[in-house]
Amino acid sequence: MSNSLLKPEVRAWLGRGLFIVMLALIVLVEAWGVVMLQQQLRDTAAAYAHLLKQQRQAQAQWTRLVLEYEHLSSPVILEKRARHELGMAYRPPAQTITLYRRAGDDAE
Amino acid sequence: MTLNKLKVLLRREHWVLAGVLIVALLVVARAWFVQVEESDFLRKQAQVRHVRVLELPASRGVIYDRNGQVLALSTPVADVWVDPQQVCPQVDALRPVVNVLHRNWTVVRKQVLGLCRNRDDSKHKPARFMYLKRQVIPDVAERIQTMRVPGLYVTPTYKRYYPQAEVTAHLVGFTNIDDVGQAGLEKVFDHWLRGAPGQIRVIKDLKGQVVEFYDTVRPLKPGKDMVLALDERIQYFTYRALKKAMIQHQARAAAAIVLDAHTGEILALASQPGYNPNDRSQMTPQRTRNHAVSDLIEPGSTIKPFVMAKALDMGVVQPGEEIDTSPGRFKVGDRIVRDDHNKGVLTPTGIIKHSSNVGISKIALRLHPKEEWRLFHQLGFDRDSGLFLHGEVMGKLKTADIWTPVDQAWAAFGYGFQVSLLQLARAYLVLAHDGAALPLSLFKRDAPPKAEAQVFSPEAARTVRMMMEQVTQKGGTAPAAHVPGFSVAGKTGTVHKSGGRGYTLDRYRSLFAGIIPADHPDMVMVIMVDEPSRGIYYGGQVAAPIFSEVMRQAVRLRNLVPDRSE
Repeated sequence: MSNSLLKPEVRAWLGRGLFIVMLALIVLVEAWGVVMLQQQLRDTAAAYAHLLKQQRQAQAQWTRLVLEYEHLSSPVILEKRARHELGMAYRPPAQTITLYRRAGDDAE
Repeated sequence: MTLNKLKVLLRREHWVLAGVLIVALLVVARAWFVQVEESDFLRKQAQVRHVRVLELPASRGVIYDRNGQVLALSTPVADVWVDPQQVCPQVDALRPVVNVLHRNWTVVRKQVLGLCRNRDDSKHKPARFMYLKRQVIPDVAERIQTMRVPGLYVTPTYKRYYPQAEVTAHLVGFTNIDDVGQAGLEKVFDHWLRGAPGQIRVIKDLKGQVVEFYDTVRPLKPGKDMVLALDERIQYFTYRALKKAMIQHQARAAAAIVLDAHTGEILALASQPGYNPNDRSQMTPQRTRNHAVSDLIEPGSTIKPFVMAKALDMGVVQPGEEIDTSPGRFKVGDRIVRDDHNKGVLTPTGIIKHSSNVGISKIALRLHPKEEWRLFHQLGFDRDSGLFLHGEVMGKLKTADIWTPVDQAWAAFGYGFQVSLLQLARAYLVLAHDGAALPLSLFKRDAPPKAEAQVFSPEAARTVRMMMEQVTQKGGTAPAAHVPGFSVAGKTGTVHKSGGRGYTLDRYRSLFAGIIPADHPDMVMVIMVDEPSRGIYYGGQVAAPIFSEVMRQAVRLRNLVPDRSE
């Protein structure tokens, strides 16, 4: 239908209608945006809570490993293994060879 | 479409538009009412239903030794508790939880029901809290959380572990179940190690899952770490040697301190009897007492090198001078100073080597009483160590004004005043550091600190160290302190303990203080064994072997070059 067939007041109403439809669309898009953001926020919050939980789990594992390492590297264990498994013994000073750094060694 | 029809349509549209506007107005009015008029009330109501405050526990700082070995750390655990008022209606739902926690169901059930609301008792507030078990490991805590029992809660927290257990117990100390320092460094530096727990407000859904963060009430601040000067390996050898001596001599207690002679850092500090800080049942007052800092002891003959150094410095005695100590007795006022036998004519070196009370008393009486008192004051015998250690005692030293010649003579061989082992170690640090007093340090230092005072001249300190080297050689009082390949300057002390009426004749303290190497000191070690009861009690026989045992390992660990050929 050509616009020239409509009376001017009808044409004006149609213009207003288009404007209202546009406004309604904008409101709808904004509402959708708010909902999306809210959801994203909740997802992030849930992920943060999950990360906090993971952090505690990682910390628990770390402390367990540290304790294990400390146990294995404790002087008691090392000494026992060195003596019994590797057959190591302390050398008396008479058997100790001391290497002295000569002046100019660093330059070489 | 005709114009009439369009007019009809428009009229109908107006009605619809008017209707929509009315509805919109109603919505706006309601929104105004909800968002503005009743906003606070509704917000509070929503918070009560959905917003929960989430506690974020702060972990305590880690304590490291100088090489990065962990001495204390916190690991995540959880406390399991119930709200009796919520649990009461279906208390049997708790049974699987109690089984997982390995607790007696009959006992727990009785406890929970005992806390249930009693309608007849309106005076008392109903209990809303009861621990089922504290410090549960994370795996178990997670398993319990999945059981979803109404009124059952799991609160994250931390538990302190001490990987070195008994070895570092007295220095590091321990915390209580609430993670608050109770002894040792854990107590003294509690404010530093302890963090501040955080609090956040969150919105939880019906399943109890966090769906939204509301705000941060208090930010989480984890505790700060701490790097000690302690060398865990030297500490271990010190602990082991002390424990061995305790068993061998059936002693009441023993303690030892190793210092870095260049910096004043504490490399080891051990005390016996010990305890495992991971096992609370071992924490009795007798075991937790740190004898290295909490016991006041008379230093006995270990004080003689200082008097000698001061006398040399003041010029009242010459290194080659001969002093007659015969017949092994010397009257001062109405008292008699005795040696264990007649040692005849001795040089200052001989006085130190044979530990003559008569000889050192004669030298001390050449000093002005105030000079001798000033020496002890400068050595720090009348003040604390500056380390603020838990349970540390200050020495007891009478003022020079009330000193009689007897006090002066007795003080020269370490009687009549009391010091802690830590104070004695600090005094020996002066001797090792060429007469300059250094502040002690618990923490690792990057550079040597500035000397606090010059107590005696470097020459006097070196001369006395040379004299003390004789002590650890054949004919001296402590050949057992000998460390193969190294020069050792040492001094023994065997002290009668004071009883109800003066000194007892059958209870002793055995002491030894040593500096290694004697020429260019690297370490200082002092040892005290309290009441050895197997018939051997001389410092040279009881305490000196501990020095040798520890230092044989320590010189190797610190890469010291042997300075004596065997």
